[in-house]
Amino acid sequence: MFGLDLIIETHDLVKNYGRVKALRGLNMKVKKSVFGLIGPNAAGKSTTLKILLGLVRASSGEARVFGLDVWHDSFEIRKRVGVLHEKPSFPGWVKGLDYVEYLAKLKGVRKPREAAFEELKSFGLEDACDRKIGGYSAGMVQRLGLAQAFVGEPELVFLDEPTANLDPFGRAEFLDTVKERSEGLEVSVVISTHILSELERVCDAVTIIFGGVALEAGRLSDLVEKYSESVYVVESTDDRRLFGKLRKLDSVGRVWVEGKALKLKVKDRVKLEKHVVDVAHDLGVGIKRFEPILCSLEEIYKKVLEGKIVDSI
Amino acid sequence: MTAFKSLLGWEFRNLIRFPLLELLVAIAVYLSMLSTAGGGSPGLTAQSSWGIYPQAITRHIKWTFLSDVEYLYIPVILAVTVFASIGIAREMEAGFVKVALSHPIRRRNLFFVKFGSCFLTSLAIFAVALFSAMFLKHWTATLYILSFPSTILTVFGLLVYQTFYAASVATATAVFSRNTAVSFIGSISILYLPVYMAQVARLKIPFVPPESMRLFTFYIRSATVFWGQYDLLTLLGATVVPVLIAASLLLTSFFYFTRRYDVP
Repeated sequence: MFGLDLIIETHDLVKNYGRVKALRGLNMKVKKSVFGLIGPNAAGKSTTLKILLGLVRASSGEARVFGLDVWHDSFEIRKRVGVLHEKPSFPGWVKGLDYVEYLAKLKGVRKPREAAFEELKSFGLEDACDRKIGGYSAGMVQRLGLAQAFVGEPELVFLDEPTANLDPFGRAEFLDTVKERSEGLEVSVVISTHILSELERVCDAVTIIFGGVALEAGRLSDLVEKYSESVYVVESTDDRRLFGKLRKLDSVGRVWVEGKALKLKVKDRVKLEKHVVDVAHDLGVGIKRFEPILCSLEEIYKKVLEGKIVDSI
Repeated sequence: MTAFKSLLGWEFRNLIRFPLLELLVAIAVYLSMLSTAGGGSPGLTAQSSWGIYPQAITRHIKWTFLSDVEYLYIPVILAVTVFASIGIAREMEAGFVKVALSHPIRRRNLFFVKFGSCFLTSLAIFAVALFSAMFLKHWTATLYILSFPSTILTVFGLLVYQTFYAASVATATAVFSRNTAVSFIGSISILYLPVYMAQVARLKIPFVPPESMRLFTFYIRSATVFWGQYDLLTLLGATVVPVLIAASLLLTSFFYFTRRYDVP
């Protein structure tokens, strides 16, 4: 049964392009969220998005979006989604506003011209909307792609490399827009990208795929906890005295000095906080900083794929 | 329905955005009319007695125009090939089809819109060009001919037949090739090579246009003037085979596009 929050589900999804196996049994579940689909080149990310849109037919397996079959019900699915493909290509002979209006009409949007203009405006293209797309810069084409993906208030938006060609300001604006639109989850967003630091800012959950299979999946906070080594950083008013006492605690494995702070390898996370506070209190040492070192999405990605890419080469 | 209309409007807009192309095609048609309706044809000899025997002149001109339709085959090839290449192959190659199919459009609708716009645009241009050429050549006689709708309908029917054959082949080539250059060269080769080979080898291949056109027009003229002189089976053999070839290719490309085509 398709859960209320579940919007995408794939089961043993396989796609072969001749002898090339793009997907080898992908299992994935996506709930209403800002979701990241990450993996190295040729991992199968774009193929997955195309299958979900009904642009490519899976060789075997099952994929559902909103509980609908992605091939047989793709028309119904596409009524409810917006898409920005990787390296988007739009006809250069038409004006930006006319093109987004045309796509809005295809989606059945009421007042398509007004809706198109609003989207172009929200992506900073209001001054260029009456210019032909052929005269747009690469960044403007990308913004146009984002505008057409969000026009018509879709329930789900697929974005394949959405920040490619955007300058730093454009990237920041885009991330703010995604955050803003996904607040209250009026729209769910599936983002496929290589720029993990940006994804980390907006994503609730990720799936890491490699070689056409999902290697890791889950909420970002859970993955961070799972992959973060149990290391804490401590800064105090007297590190030297604290160092000697912390070494003797049974909840601490190892203590070392790095820069101006102490680092603790933890054995027992539950007891640690109380132990450190008690020791500091007994010694009359003030604690300035005491926090775990959490790994980034990039570090998680590297850990998950460690050895895989070399093996595959 | 609104989406379908938008799609259709977009396709026509895409295809008729090159007025230069239409102009060139119109000139090509007019030149073909001049070259074929000219020297040695009954039309010229009849001109000397223009005012005296209007019905005889009209009959000659009717013959000439019907014969001329077969010479329009080459400009038809050029037009449908260009339209199929830019409207289908280029859009598949450039990713515009991917964008369109990412929206709520059924594949079958997109296919029919693309084929239909290619076919209808070519047909419209040729209908306008043909009747313009007729007026330019013999405007008084053309006005007289227009009082015989059967002649006009016959010419138009032949044009539909030619355009359908060429548009189907060009559409199938564009869909399967998915490449502008390959589609253009491939379509021209498939459509014109048999004609050229037949000319070089001095063969009359009955089902290869324009030879089928010739048989068709002979039949219609004979039906008008010398009823029963030509065999109906010969005509059917000549005209049905190209239509069957065209329809088979069109259906195959339709099934490929709607069921098998993986959008890159």
